[in-house]
Amino acid sequence: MVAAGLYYGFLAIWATSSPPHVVQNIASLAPFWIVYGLLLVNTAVCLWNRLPVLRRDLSSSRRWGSLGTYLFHVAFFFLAVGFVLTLLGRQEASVWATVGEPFESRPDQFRSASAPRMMAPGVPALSFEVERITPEFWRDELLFTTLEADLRFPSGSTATTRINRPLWVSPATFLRMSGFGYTPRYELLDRDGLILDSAFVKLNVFPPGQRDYFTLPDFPHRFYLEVMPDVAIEEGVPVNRSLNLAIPAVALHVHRGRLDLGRAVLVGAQAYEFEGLRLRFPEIRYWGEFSIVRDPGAPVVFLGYIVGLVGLLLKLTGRRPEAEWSAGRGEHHG
Amino acid sequence: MAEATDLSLSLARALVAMCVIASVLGFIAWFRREGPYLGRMANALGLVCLALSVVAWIVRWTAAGHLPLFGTYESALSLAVATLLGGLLVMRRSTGPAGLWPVVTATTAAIVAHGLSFDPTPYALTISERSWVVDIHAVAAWAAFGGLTVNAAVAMRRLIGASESQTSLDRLLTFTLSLGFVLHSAMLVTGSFYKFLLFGKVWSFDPIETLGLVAWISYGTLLHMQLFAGWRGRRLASWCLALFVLLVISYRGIVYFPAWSTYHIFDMDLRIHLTGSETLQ
Repeated sequence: MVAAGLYYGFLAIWATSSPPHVVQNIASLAPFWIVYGLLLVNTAVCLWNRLPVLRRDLSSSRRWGSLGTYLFHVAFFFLAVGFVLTLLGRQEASVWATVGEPFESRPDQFRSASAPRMMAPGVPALSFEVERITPEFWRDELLFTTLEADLRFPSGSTATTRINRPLWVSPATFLRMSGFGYTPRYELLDRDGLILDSAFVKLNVFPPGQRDYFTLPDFPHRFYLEVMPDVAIEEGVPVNRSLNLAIPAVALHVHRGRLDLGRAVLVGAQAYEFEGLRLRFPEIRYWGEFSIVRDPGAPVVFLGYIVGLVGLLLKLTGRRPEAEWSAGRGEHHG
Repeated sequence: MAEATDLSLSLARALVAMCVIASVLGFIAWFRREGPYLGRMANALGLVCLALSVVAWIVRWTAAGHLPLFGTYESALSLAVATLLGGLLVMRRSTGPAGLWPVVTATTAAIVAHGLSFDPTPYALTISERSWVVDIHAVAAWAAFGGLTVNAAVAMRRLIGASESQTSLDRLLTFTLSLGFVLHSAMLVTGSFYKFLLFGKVWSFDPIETLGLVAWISYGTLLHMQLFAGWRGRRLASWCLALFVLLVISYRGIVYFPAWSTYHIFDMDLRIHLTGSETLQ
């Protein structure tokens, strides 16, 4: 226990200068595993040795404190099993889905996915459609007070997920909203106004001021965008008033290779002309990033937490004799 | 809201001053065995401090529109209420003149003074803090801190050679140590559960988790030494005091970590520069 305390103390100090993933890697090194192993072996031996004492306490004098101590230490093994199951079987994937877009677990719809593990070939297949995404900001600051998504499933049922309220798909799998952004829909037109191409593009253009770009497969151009969700023109200059998608505008900058083809701020159906083409963004929707997490160890860990807390409460409130150990002969006196 | 914030700040400053006076008087009463007058005065001031802290806490709750748990200043007020409540709950026990108020009020003064050095602007709770699990986690944290502060106060009383029954003090020392450990465990468990809801991970060695775990292991080790190695009296009291220093660091030291290293810094002026996905966390 002292070694564990020292290890974690050093880990906390290390965290002041190392990124989180490095800290997690350090915590998975051999010295920590050795300490965990020794603690578990020691606990198992002690639990085995104290079993007769527990039986006596419960049957004769109903000392629930003894049971409490026992349960608390048994909980360590639930935690150990849970963490091992997590190591072997945790899967996480993130997907982007725009409002109105059905998600069908197609490979191209995944933004990222963790590598398959021993006990998990991949995240379970899910299908849903995003009906609505509702963000709310506090005083137009970059501070979400609400961020939730209404989802519809193939069965017809609907549910709402928030960033801190996941939807449980199964005992070990849940779906949660983990990100948010703007999805402009572009329309590329020719000189005659014929629409050549149109689609939603999921870009990292949130918060306002963030810049991203997209390209089209049949055209050599690169289109840089910033989204102003609530634009107003003040003294001839477009300014963004709030984070709410009220009067959206797109600040566009077009390049072809190293050639700068100009820039413009487009509001509503306004289009920008370049090299015989016109580009406009008639619609902007929200996209949501959703995480699908499958963690078979989590329910076991939570069960361990419950068992441990129940044990502590029993110990605190129950009667229990003080234990004393005599050195040398291995006897104990209850 | 500005008026309520100013009132909360004024009350907090008054609380610090009152706690300092109560603490000084209480320590004098501890060391001057003759005459109960100082002790009674320290008791009365301790109660005044408690009343002041509760009012400041309620005013802050009204101004912010949520339980005061967001930011170093708000958490200081909440810890103050929990700590002073602990002092009240043990007041009737045989803990001598001035009870445990000297240590309790000294700790409260330090915590609130520390909180006052941070931005007191009330912010709305971000979505990640709007959960009943967070509320339970925060209350467990405050209660654990309050309980272990009382434990430290008993320890100090035991170390200075109190006139009251040492057996009674030892029993209180052991009980508060156990109670604080249970509440600290509840804090860690609820925090871990909420971490899973928020990030899909039960544990990620965020510095706040690691620091909490260090304190938990330390107090757990002390409990084992008390139970199985017969640590009693002054020896146990010394270690309780030493671990209390560690506890304070684990509770209040997180704000000095880099903002990118931990999720548990809720002072918006320290986090507002973060953009992109980090702000959603």
